[in-house]
Amino acid sequence: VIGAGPGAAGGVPPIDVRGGTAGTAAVLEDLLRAGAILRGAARQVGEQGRVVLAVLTDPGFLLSAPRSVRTFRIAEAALREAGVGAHGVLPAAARLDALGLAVTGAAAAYRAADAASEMVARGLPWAAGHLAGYVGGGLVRLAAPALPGFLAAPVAVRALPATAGPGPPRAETSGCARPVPMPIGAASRLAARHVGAVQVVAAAIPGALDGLVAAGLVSPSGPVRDVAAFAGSLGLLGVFTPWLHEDGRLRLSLAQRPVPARPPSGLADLASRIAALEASVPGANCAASPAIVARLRVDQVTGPGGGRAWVVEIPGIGDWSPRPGVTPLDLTAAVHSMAGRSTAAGRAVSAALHAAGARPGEPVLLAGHSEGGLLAAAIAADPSARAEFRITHVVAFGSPTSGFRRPHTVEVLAIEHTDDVVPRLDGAPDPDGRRWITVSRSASGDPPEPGAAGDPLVAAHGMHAYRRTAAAVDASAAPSIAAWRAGAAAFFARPGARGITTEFLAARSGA
Amino acid sequence: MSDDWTVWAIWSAAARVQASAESVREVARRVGLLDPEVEWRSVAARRFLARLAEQAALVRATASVVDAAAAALRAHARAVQQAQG
Repeated sequence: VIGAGPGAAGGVPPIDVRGGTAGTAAVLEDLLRAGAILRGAARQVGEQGRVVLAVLTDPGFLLSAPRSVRTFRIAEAALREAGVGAHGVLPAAARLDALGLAVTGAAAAYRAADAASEMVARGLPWAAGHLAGYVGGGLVRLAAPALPGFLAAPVAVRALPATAGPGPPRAETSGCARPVPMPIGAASRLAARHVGAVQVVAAAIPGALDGLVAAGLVSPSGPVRDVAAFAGSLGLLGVFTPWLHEDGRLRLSLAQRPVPARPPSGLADLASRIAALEASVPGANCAASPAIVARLRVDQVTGPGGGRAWVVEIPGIGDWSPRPGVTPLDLTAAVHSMAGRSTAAGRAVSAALHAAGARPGEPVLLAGHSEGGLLAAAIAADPSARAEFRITHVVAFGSPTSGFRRPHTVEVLAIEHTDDVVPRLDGAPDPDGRRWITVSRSASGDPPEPGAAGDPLVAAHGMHAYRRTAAAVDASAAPSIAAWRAGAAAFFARPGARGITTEFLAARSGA
Repeated sequence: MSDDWTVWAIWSAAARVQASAESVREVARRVGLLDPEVEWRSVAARRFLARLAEQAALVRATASVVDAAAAALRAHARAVQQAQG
C-alpha cells in the first residue's frame, strides 16, 4: 500500500489509502520527470565540456605558449582537469546522464511490471471465462439437433428491430419491509463469504460471453473485452425486450425549494446526507420493493470571496428489477451507465444542476452511494457532461467505478469496503493514479447498525458503515488524502462559506 | 598573427570558460532544486533525494574546477601581456 496514512485517529477505523499524489503512479511520474530533468542537465553540462576542451586547440592559446611557457602549462593542465579530470565537466555529465537513465529505466520497468500485473488480474479470469464460454457454446452447438430450435439458433442481436419500447409500468409500491441494498439469496450469501472471487467472476463473465460469440452461439455488437463491453451487450436487451430498456425520458420536480443550509462539513457529513436521501424515499436501496422516485440534493457552496461550487448527492439503487421502473436509479440505469451510455438518471443530475443555477465553469463535485457513485463516475467520464459543467471531483461510496476512463481534470475518491461485493462488480481493481484515490477497509468488525437485519453483505455495503469509513478519511493525515482535501476545499464548510440546498425528485416519464 | 590578437584570444577563451563555469553552477542549482520541483512524497523518492544532493555537490565541485581553469587562462593572458612589455 503506497501512501497509507495513519488513518486511525480518535477511535475511527484504520483505512488503507492507494493512489493520489503519494500513490505509486504519482511517484513513477515524479521519477520519470526527474530522470528527464537529470538527462537534460547532463546534456547541458556536456556542452560546457566541449566549450572547455575546445580552448586546448584554440590557435590563439597555442600560439601564446612560447611567450609564457609556465603559465601556458598551468592553464593547459587546468583546462584538461576541468574537461576530463575526476571532477571535470565530461565525467560530471556522464554521472548525471547515468543517474537520469537509471531513474527513468527503473520507473519504466516498474510501470511495465504494474501493467503486466494488471493484465494478469484482468486477463486471466477473462481468458478462463472465454474458454468456458467457447467450450460451452461449442457443446451446445454440437447438441443442437437434440435441443429446441431457439437454443441452437444464433441470436443476431443487431438484426433485431430497435423500435420496441418498455413494457407496461409495474405496480408501484412503497415501504421497505427489509431495507437491503441488493437481493439477498443463496448467491449473495456465497458472495459475502468469497468477496474476492466476485471480482474474478465479474472479470470472467465478459470473457464467457466473448467465448459464446467465438463459438457462434450469440453475436453481440462487438468483442466483449471487459465489464463495460459486457454491460453494453447486456443493455442491447432493451432494444428488443422490455428489459433494460433505457429511453432516457425524465420528469424532474422540486422536492424542496432552495433553502439556506450549511455546506457539507466533510466526507462523513456527505455520507450522512446521502444516507438521509436514501432513507427519505420509500423503497430506495431496497430489494423488497422498488423506490417510487429518486431524490437528489444539490448544494450550492459560496465561498468567502463569492466563488461558487456545487455538490450533487446521489443515492443508491432504488429498483433492482431488470424492467425499468419509475425511479431512474434502477438496474437499467446501472447497466447502461456501466456501458458508458446516456441514462435518465444522468440527465436527472444534469437537469438538477441546471435548475439549481449552476453555471458553466463553476466546479462541481458529484457524490453517490452504490449506483449513485457509479452514475457520478459515468457522468464525469462523459465528455459532453464535462463540456456542460466543470466536474472536478467524484466521491463514490461502494461503487464499481474502475472501468471508467479517467479524465485528467477529475479527481476521483473511491471509498470501498474489502467485504463489499458491489465495488468488485467492475471486475478489476481500481487504478492507481495521481487523480484517483481508493480508500478501503474491512467493515466486518463494525458494530451492527441499529435495527438492521444483520446480514454481513448488507452491512458492508450500507451507508452506516460507509459513514464510519468517511469519518476515518476525514481524520486521515495520509499525504494523498491531505492533498485531495486541499483540492476539494471549495465544496466543504469553511469560515465565511455559505450554502443553499435544493432537493429534486426524478422519475422516468416513460414509465 | 599579431601578439594583440593572441592576448585577445586568451582573454576571450577565459571568458568562455568562465561562462561555462556559471552554466555548470546553474545546473548544480537545478539538480539540487529537484526536491521542491518534483514534489517528492514517497520514502523511495526521499532516498533518491540523497543521491540528488550528492550529485548537486559533485556538479558544484565541477563548477569550481572550471572556475580554476578560467582563472589559469586569465593568469596566462596577463603573463603574455607582460611578456610583450
